Amino acid sequence: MPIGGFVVTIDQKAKGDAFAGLARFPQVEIYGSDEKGNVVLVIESETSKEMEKIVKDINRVEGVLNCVMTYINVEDE
Amino acid sequence: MSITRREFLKRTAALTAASYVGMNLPFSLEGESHAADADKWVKGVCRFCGTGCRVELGLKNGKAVALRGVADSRTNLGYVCMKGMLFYKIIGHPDRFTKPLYRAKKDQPFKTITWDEALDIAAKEFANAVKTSGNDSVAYYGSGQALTEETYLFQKVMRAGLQTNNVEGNPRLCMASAVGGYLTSFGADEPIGSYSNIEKASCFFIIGSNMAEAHPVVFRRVMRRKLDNPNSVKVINVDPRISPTSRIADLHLQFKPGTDLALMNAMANVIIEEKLYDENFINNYCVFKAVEDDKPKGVDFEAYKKFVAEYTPEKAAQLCGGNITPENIRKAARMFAKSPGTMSMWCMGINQRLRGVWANNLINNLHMITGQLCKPGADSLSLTGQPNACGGVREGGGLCHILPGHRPVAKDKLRNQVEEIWGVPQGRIPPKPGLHTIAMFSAVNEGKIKAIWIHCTSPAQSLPNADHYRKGLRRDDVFVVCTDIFPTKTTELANLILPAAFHFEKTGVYGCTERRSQITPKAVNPPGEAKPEVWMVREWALKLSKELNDPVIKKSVEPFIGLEEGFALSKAIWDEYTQKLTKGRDNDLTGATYDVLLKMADGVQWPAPTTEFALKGGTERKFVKGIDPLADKLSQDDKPYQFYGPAHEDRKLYIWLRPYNGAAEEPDAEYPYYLSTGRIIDHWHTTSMTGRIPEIMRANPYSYVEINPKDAAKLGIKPGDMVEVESRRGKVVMPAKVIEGPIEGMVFAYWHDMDEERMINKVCKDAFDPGSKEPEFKISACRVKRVSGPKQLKPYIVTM
Ligand code: SF4
Repeated sequence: MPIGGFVVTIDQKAKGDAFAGLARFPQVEIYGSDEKGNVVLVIESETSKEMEKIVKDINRVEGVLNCVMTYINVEDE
Repeated sequence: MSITRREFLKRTAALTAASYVGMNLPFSLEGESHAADADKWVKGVCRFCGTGCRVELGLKNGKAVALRGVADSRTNLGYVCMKGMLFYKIIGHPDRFTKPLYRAKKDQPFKTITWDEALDIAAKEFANAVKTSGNDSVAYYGSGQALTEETYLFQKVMRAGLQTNNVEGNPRLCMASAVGGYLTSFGADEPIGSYSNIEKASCFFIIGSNMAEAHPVVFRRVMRRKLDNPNSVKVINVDPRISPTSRIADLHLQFKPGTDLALMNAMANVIIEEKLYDENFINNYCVFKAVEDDKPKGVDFEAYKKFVAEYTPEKAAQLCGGNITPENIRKAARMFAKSPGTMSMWCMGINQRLRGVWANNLINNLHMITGQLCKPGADSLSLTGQPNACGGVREGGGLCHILPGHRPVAKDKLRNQVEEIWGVPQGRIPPKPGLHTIAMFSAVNEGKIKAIWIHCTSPAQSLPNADHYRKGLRRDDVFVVCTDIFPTKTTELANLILPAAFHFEKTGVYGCTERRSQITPKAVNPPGEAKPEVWMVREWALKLSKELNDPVIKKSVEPFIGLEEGFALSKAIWDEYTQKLTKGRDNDLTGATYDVLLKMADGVQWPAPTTEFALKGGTERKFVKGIDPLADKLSQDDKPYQFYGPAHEDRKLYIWLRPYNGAAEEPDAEYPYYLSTGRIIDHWHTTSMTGRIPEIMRANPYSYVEINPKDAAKLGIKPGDMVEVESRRGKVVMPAKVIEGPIEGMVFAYWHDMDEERMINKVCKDAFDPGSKEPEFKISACRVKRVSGPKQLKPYIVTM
């Protein structure tokens, strides 16, 4: 079960849509956000591929501009 | 209160991410008793694209368990993308080659042999070819994913040992036109500036690149710049496809494939008409060049002005089609010229073209006429696809016409310099450049090449008009050696497969887009008997020397005999290359020793002639006095910029008069659609690696073709329908994705699929740029028809 740390950038104009969209992923936990549109989140998934799919879907969420990773732990995979 | 191990890891992940954006989270991990997430972190560079993200591999009991970006790296500022992080799955993958495999004939099964036998066979076959058919009957075809040390040693043995310049590599298929553009425009290969210009730029001109998907970490910086300065920073996105990159654009210009040459000439016209050009910059640093009777000829500003005057915005808008209007062209030209710092970024959409060099020149022209170079935020930056196309292949001598250190083979003085450095007799390296990629595989087809070593790449799938070139590789009188980690469409055609060590299983350097060299040291052992390629080349050369009774071949590897293969051998090769071959050249890496590279968070940008300078990171902006030590050293006047590039002896920048010409194959009544191809973000190139990660294959099992909804309606195609895409060269059948992506009249297919039914490169045209010899993957003509409704397909990858 890999665990990844991510920084998502959202368009402040579509902030509501973006947070609502992110909240729909059960594997995603939001840890914090700031006024510049940075959102720190952690994804915990069954496989790293599932994580990749979630990242792809996050990129398609209305108001999300970019989703990059900073850390992944795969010790259980 | 103590937390669980998983909670501990989640908090570690969250804190790492938060620290990059300066966010405080309401917890810390101080005092937690959990064992650390990794017991050792090893810094290296990502294996999966030319961005050059610095990463750290976390090991626990010698096993890869975690990865993270390096926060103080100037390439990626700590960020990485998901694709880049999956490479740990390849380390230890059960499909890896672990023993040498051989068969005398290509219809026989492979059998396992020893390394000694394998290298004997390789030496005998190459020696026989040389004895019976001459030195040019052998060839090396390498890769922008090979380490610099590997490319350097292979080409040294081929040129000085086997006396042939038949040294090529897959960067010919992706960035040769950018090389041609830089050399003809600026007199020197590779970008002048760095990614660090992004945070200073006020206008981005992104053309022929879907960087949001293909280079997401660079895109993040561009996006951040735009979001932090929504009014003062402008983004122009120019592409026949709408892509996620367009999301941050102030202006998205969508045009018919290939017509961007007219668009850029029209922008230049507006800039001149509206007097937005930088007269000072032009007078001080530039000259104008036209081509007459196939030769460059100096012309003046008036001639250039007259030339671009033909490209009125009205005429260009008509040629370009799409959403381009005369007013849009004027707007783009003004944004480009008036911004305090404009940065262009492009990729395959510009390079993989019949007129790829011209397209590069026209981007560079816009920068020269507006003086948008050498100052903060201004640069003409070609993004690269592979992690070491710049460092290994462009700089290390990995193409048929260049020797290490940006030395053209044909220049006697420079060739002799290399012979002297290598200690081989003068005249040992042939003066004639070898065969470029398409010519090389044509020679394989004709049976003129009898033995070829293909390293870390799969031309049987990646060449355009692939069926045509696979004929030659299938011949039984052509001996094919492959060094690889997994089976590919090319190893299917090999006689000998040599199992190679993968990233972090050997030591070596990659040079990324921004002239930056970064080391990745060995952290884990390769599986089974897999070996670093530098070991293979050295041992093969020693056997070749005996077979051909030629001591000069031995001489080419003599400094490396007996060195331990995991680190010391690579270090000695890097030392020879940097200390002797780059010294005094524009890509001077003398200061970038292994010691220095291992100390750096992010490597060194050349020129870096001393270790003191290299330890500061090297040259952020070339040609600028006070920043680039060579600009100071080679200064000839009191001007702030010194364009000392080796290709322009007059030290001028060249503004070229390049007309708009169509593609090699434009749509017609028989083949009415433009076909363009590209890469899906999930897969790397031919899927030989990513196809083996089951989860990736489940989510993206096969290629598909994108069709504009208007075209789909005309053709009666619904989403998921099976569609035949046919050209004059071949056809494939793949599922349709109906999407507002490609412009009307164009279809876009992904090229990663290994299945014969869906291998789009069978359909692409092998026409190539006469300057760069790079094939025109991005444009050919096809017809499209629905063959059935959605069908259950089986994913396919080559296995043994
Ligand atoms: S952007 Fe490229 S170099 Fe960076 S992590 Fe992703 S694949 Fe690797």
